[in-house]
Amino acid sequence: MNDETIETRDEMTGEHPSVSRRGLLRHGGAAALAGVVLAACADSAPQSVARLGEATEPQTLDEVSLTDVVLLRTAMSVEKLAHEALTSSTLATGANSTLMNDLAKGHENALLALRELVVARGGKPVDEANARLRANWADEALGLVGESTEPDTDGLMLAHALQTIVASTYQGFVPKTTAAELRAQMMELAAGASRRAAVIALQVAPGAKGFASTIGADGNPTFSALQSTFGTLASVQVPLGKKNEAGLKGSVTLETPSYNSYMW
Amino acid sequence: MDTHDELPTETATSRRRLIASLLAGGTAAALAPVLAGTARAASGPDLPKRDAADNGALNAVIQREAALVATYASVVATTSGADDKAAMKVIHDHHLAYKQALAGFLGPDLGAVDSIPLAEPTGSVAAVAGVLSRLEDETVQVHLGTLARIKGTDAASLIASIITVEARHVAALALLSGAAPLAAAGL
Repeated sequence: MNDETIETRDEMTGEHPSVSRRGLLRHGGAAALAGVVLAACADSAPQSVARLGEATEPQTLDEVSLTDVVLLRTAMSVEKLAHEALTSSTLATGANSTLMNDLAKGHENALLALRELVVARGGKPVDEANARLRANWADEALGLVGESTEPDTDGLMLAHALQTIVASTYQGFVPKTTAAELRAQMMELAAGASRRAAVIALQVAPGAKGFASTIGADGNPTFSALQSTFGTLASVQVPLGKKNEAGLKGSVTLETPSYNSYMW
Repeated sequence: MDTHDELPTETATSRRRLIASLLAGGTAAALAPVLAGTARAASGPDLPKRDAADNGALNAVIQREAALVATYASVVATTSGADDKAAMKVIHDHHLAYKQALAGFLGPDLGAVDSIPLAEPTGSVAAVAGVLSRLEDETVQVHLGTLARIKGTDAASLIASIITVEARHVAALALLSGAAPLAAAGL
């Protein structure tokens, strides 16, 4: 037999079929197996028939670049979040009402300054609080202050943590900022937040005693205005809310914005 | 013609190829959506971490911090109340840490540093705190001016971390001097 495509003889008919039973089983099984593998890897709504050796074209994401405008817009969203919290009915109430409303003016001034900086660079100012930070910790923290048995103290603790986060946000932006002059302008706003933080801290622990932490009667470090030697970029954990049977409050961890909470 | 003898050889080779192809194709198909769903890191500006041109400005900042260390050393020595003394000592130690950190950053590029106090305030704690608050405020402005000039991001980060806390010094000392909260906050 010279025809190389016909390799086996059909035993029933004695003819030479172009597709043998063995070949059919072998190729059919292979095709079914390939189908199972590809089907398992496919999207729920495949757009084309999958073929062996043909991978799905990778989906290209939008190329984003970190610019000074992105940082400024993000700073606006954080300032707005802090302003909303300070002026909320949860914090601007009781003995803290005047202080909170006064300190909120610092955020209003910062927002005006940031707006100018954003517009000068051709960007679009942000008028909303940072939604991701609000969802991650701000709403929870305000909720805990609202149900606290010590709402005035907890309100101050949260306000202090907010100012710390605002200052840390700017500080963290410094090595990412292109223009040296803008670094200084942002750190001027950070200095304002730091000053407000110290003022709030000394409402909780007044006088020279409140400058630095010592070990309290309960064995824990006391709250103070000067908690670290250098400005921190770490998250801020703040105890808030009702005390449990052991006399301990819950805690919320406040964090500075990251790439997934930047205002791109 | 009997081709059965040839068949197994070809079949074995085909099976190997088939399995290899399936593995390769399956792996590629499985990885494709994973790779497609992986977010790309945002590209940021390529900024210099260090710049020798910053050394002059950083040496000037060290001089300022050294002068504050000497100032607070004098204040600590003349303050009598335990809490007041402890508060002044804490700030003294902060400035000492800033001086050391900046000196460490500069290393062999560190210039001569003298330790002449900016002031030697005496009197009540409130009066002393008022003078120190103003000195701290001036120092924050010095750092901000430096930050606006230097190029290296490492030095800028260090200066920024100092500003954050020195601004707290300003407000805390202002409150200790008797200033109202709003004034202490700079509003």
